[in-house]
Parts: sequence; C-alpha cells; structure tokens
Amino acid sequence: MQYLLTFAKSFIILGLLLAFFAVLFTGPGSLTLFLSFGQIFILIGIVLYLGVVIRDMKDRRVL
Amino acid sequence: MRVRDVIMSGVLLLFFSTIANADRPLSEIGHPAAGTTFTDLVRIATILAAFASIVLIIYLQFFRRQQEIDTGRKWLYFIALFMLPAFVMFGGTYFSLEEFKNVDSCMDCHQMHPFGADMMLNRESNTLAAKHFRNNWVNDHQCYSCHTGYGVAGTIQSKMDGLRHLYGRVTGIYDRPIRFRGNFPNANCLTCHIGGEKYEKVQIHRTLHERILEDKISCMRCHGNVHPSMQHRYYPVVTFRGGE
Repeated sequence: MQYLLTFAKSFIILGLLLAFFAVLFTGPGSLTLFLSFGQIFILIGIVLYLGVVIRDMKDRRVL
Repeated sequence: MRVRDVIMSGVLLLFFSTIANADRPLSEIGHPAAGTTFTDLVRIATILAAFASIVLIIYLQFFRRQQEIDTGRKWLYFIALFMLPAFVMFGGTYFSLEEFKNVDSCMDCHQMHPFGADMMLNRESNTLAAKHFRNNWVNDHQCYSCHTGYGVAGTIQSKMDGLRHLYGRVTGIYDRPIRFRGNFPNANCLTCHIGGEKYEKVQIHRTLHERILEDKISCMRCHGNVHPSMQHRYYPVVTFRGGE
C-alpha cells in the first residue's frame, strides 16, 4: 500500500507543478494544454490516494 | 549538499518565482480597466493552493517521515493530497473558462489575427465587428459576447467549439480556407439591441419582428459586413495587449 501512496504523491506533485506554472505564467493556448495534463495527473493521484484511504479503513490500519 | 538543502532551494525558487510574477498586473489578464476581479482572486488562490500543497507533501515526505503516525498527520495528508489538489483542479478550470472569454484568447491562434487586426488596429474599417469594438459598444469579451449563445447551453456549445478549434490547431487538421460552420442566432444581436430606441424606430425591424425572433431571417442579411472578406484580410504580427 505504501507504493500506491508514493505513486499518488508523485502524480499529484507533477500535476500541481503543471497547473501551478500553467496558471502562473502561460497564455491561453498553453494554459489549456498544461492545465489539462496537470488536472489529469492530479485526478489520477487523488483516485490513488482515495484508494489507499479506503483500503486503510477496511484494514483498520493507519496510513 | 544534503537532500534537505536541495528541497528547500526548490521550494524557495518556487516561492520567489511567484513573487517575481507579482509585478505583472493581474488585471492585465482579461480586464484592462476593471481592476482585480473575482477571476484574478481565483487565480491567486489556485496558485497559492498548488504551492501550499507541494510544500506540504514535501514536508510530509521528508521531514515527518520517521515520526509516529497519528491523526494529525492523516489530516495533513488529506489536506495535501485531496483538498488542496481538488481546489487547484476546480480553480484552474474556472480560471481557464474565464480566461477563454478574453479577446487575447481568441487571438492566440494565428488564423484569428486578421479579424483582431480589423477590429483593433484598422481605424478605417467599416465592418460591424470593428464598429462595435471602436465605439466600445461591447465593453468586454468582445469575441465571446457575439459568438456565444446565451445561457448554459450556449456556454457548453462554445466550450465544445473551442475544444474542436484547439484540436484543429494542435493537429493542423482542418479545412482551408476556414469557414464559419455554425449559424449565427439573432438572439446574439437581439440581447443588446431589442427594445433599444435605435432598433425600434427602424420600420423594417417592426415589420419583420416575428420572423427575426424566430430566426427565419438573419440580422446578417441586412447587416452583413461583419468581418473583413477574404480579399481584405491581412496578417499582421501583433500583440493585442499592446498594439502593433
């Protein structure tokens, strides 16, 4: 389960970085591209994290 | 150099890049004279949320890794891996939707430059769009105001069209010359014009009232010179924020 959490963190950090720079620096065209990729990565990361949380709750174990 | 130093350097770099960008007026994004808007605030909040989330994840990963797992740490994980990223997603979506209403956004594609140039740079132009722009008849979001149907359906349709345009732009697959594929509902004109004194006093408007409302006759039939024709388009290198 630990590796799933690591994957979640990696995806979310990558997504956040893309979104961060998209919103901070880029113009409209690039904004869509970077932000869309960022959002996809964030979404994958969140799903993985929630998967870990649900499994953790099932197993009655802490993260 | 230790791992901690490298991480802290990265965090500081991110922080200072945010500060360095602060001298760029946020209002410049889409509303040159409107001051700070709600969209600007969402932009700032999204940037800060992304930054905070990254810092928090790094902190949890490298600085509290060996410590006892407790409820507080689980909450920090929940904030860093769910709440803040979810906010960034929604904030980013809202910001990008608003950003795409700006003229700059339409002009981001080279194909649109002749229309922008005609509206903003050609003071002799007699086209409908240029007259609207020159006289400030539409205060903001000039392209969006006329080219998007009103209401939720209009917004969704324009988003779909926008994605189709983006796909064409990225892949380069589209028919040339570019032609307007949709129709132009009279409601886009009537939203501003109907009921106005200038509109109502024209006899033909009153005569054709029902047909105009039902889109059986287009406004463009009489007021057709909307954008420059193929022969009158030119492709300047322009930045529309600052002129040619």
